[in-house]
Amino acid sequence: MHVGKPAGLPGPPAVIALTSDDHGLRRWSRLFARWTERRWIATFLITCLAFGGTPSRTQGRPGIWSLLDLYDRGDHASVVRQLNTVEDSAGLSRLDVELRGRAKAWIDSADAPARRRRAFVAGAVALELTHALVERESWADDLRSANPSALPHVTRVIAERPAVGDTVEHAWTLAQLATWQEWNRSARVVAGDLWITPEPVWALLLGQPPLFQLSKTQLTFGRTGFLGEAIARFPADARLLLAAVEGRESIETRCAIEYCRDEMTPSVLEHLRAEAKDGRGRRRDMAVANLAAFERLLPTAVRFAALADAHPEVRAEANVHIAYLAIRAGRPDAALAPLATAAGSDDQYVRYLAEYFTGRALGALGRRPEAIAAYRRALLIIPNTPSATTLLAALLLLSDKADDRVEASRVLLASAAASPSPLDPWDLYWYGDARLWPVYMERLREALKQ
Amino acid sequence: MRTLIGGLMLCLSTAVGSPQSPAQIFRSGVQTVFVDASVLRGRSPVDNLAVADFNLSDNGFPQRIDSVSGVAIPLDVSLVFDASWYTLGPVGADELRRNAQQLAALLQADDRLAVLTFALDVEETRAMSAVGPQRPVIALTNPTTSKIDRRFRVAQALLTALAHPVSSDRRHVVVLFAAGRGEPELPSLEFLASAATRSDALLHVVLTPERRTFDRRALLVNPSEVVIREAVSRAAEATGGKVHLTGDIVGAFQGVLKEFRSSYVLRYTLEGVPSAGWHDIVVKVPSCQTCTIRARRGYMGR
Repeated sequence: MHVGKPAGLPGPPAVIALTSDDHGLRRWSRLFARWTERRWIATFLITCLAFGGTPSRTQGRPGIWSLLDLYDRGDHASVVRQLNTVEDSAGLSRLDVELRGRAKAWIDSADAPARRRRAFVAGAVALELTHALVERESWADDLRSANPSALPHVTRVIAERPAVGDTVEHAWTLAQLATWQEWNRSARVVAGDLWITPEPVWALLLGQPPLFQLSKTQLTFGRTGFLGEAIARFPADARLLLAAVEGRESIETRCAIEYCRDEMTPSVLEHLRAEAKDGRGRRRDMAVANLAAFERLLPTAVRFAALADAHPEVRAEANVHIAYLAIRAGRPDAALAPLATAAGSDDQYVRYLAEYFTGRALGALGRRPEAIAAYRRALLIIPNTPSATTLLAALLLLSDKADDRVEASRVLLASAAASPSPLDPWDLYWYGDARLWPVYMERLREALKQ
Repeated sequence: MRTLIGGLMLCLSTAVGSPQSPAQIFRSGVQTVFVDASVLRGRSPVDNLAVADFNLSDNGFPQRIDSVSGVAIPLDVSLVFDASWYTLGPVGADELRRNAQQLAALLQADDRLAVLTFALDVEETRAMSAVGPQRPVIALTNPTTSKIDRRFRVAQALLTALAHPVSSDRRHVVVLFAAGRGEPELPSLEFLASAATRSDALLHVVLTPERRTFDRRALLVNPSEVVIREAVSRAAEATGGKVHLTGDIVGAFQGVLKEFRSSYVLRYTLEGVPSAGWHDIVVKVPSCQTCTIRARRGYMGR
C-alpha cells in the first residue's frame, strides 16, 4: 500500500532509516557514542527511536494519509474496505496512533477555509477506525482497542476551531456519541480482579465520576463530559438529552455488576437490609451498595418521565426505561402502562423491549399466560432472540400442557440454530445509541459531501 | 474451615435428604410409570433391593410398585459446555476438546449424545443422535469473548438441553461443564430452577476451578458470565442431580454414568390420581435411613 505524503511536509527523522538495518544501527550507535562518549546511552536512545515505531511505517497496512485523502474525496466505501483488510486489531491500533500523530498536519495542509471541514473528515476517520477496532475484537488479540487514541485527540483539534453548530457538527456529535457507546461494549474498568464499573464510558460521557483508568480520555471532554459539551452546543437535541439520562441511570442505579441485583423483590430487599445491618465485609458492602442503588431507581424514572413529557420524539424509549426501573424497584404493576405506550413505537428495537419487559412485568405479577403471550409477540418482532426465547421457554416448561413443552423445545432449538444470531435489544439496553451507529455515520458521511 | 463446613453439609444432606429424596422417572403409556432411583450408602450403590424395600408416592398418593429391576436403560446424554474464552483461556480450549472426546468415549453404542456450547451464542454442535460403535467426534468451536452479560446464554443452553423430549424407553442426563466462580447473587435466574423442576432430565453440574490468568484481557470481560453457581446448583438439585466441584471433568462424568447405570428401575401403575398434569414423586427406602436416594422430583403426565 502506497503511503501518501503530501509535498511540503517534512519527511521522517533520519534515524528512522535505521529501523530495519541492524548493521546501520550499530554504526550510528558508534558515531553517536563517539560524540557523547557514553556508548550505552547512545545505544539505548537509538534503539528506542528505532523500535519505537513511527507513523509512516505501514508494513502492509493502508497509510493514514491516503485514507484521509480518500475520505475527503467522498470515497468512504474504500476507506471502510481498507480498514476491513487490516489483518488484526494491532494493525488497526497502529493506524489509530498514526492518525493521532498526523491528523493535525493533514488538516493544516489545506487552505484555511477548508480546515474546519477537514477536521471533521479526520474526526469521521477516527470514528471509522474506532468502530473497526470494536468490531475486530477477538480473544486472540490484545486489547489495545480498549484505548482509542485518535478520537480524543481529533475531538480536541475540532474544538480548537469553534464555529456555529452546523449540520456537519451535529452529525459528528451524534456519530461520536454512538461510537463511544459502542466502545462501551468492550471497555471495562477493573481494580484487581473486580470489575468496578459496569459501563465505564457513561462516566466519560457525563464527566462523572472521575475514573482513574479513563482519566486521560476523560480530560478531553472536561468536567461536564462529552454530553455536557454536546448539549451546550445542541441544547434541543432529544437524543443527547436521552443519552444524558440513560448515563445517569447506568451510573446511579447500578453497582459493580458482580454484586448487583436486577430486580428488588420484597424478599430480596428484606435479605439485603438484614445483610446491611448485620453482615460483614464484602457482603455488607454489597448490600449497602445495592440498597443505595435501589433508592435511586424511582428518582431516575422521574427524570425519564420529565424527558418523555418534554420530548415526544424519545417518549417511547423513555417509557421503556421507566418500565424497567419500575420492574427493578419491585413495582411491575407500574411498568405496564408505559410499556403499552412504547409498544406502539415505529422503532423495532423499542417495540421488542416493550414486549419483552411486558413479559417480565406480567411474569413477576404471576400472570403467566399473558407473560407468555408478550414474549411470543416479542419474538414476532425479532425472531430467535435469546432474551425472550429463554424466558418464554422457562414459562412454557412450567405449563401442564404437552404442546407448551413441545413449543419450548422448538423455540430454544430454533434460537440455537439461528445464523446469523439476531441482535438482541436486551443485550443493547445499556449501550444507548450504539445501535444507531450506522445511521449516524451515514448522516455524517452525507453531511461531509455537501 | 471450608472443608469442615462442606463435610457438615454433606452429613446433613445425607441425613435429612435420604428419607424423602425424589426419584428419576420415565414413563411408558398412559397409566404405567417407570421411575429410576439410585440408592447410595456414602458413595457406594446399595445392591439387592426388592419391591418391598421401596415406598413410592405419586402426587401424595401411595402407589403399588409392580416391579424393581436393575436393567441398564439406554441414555440420552446432553453435554453443555461453557466455551467462552474467559472460562477456558487459549490452553483450556484444547483441553476441553480432548476432554469432550473422552466423555463421548464413555458412552455405550445404544446411548445417544447431544452437545451444546455457549459463549456469545448458544450453539447445538451435535443434535441428539446415536453414539454407535465408533467414537463420535465432537467438533467444538473456538472460544470467544463475551462482551455482554451472558446469564441468558447459560440459562438458554441449559433450558435447551432440559427441554429435549425423551422417549419412554430412555433416560435423559444433562451435564453442564462450567467455571466455578463464587459470589452468586442472581435472582433473575430463579426461573431456571423452576423450569428444571418440570424437566424429564437429570441435571448434573461440573464446576471446574476458575482459570486465573494474569492476562489483562481476562479482567476485561464480564465476570458475571461465570457467576452462575447458585442458579445452576439449584437447578441441578431441582432435578435430583448435584454439583461436582472438580477439575477432573472426565472423572466426574464417569461418576454420573456409574451412578445412573447402577440405579433401580421401579415400575408402577398409576392409581388414585389423574394422569394429566404434573406429578410429584417421592421414593423412600425405609430400611435404609442413612441412604441417599438421588433422582428428580416428578414428571409430566399425559
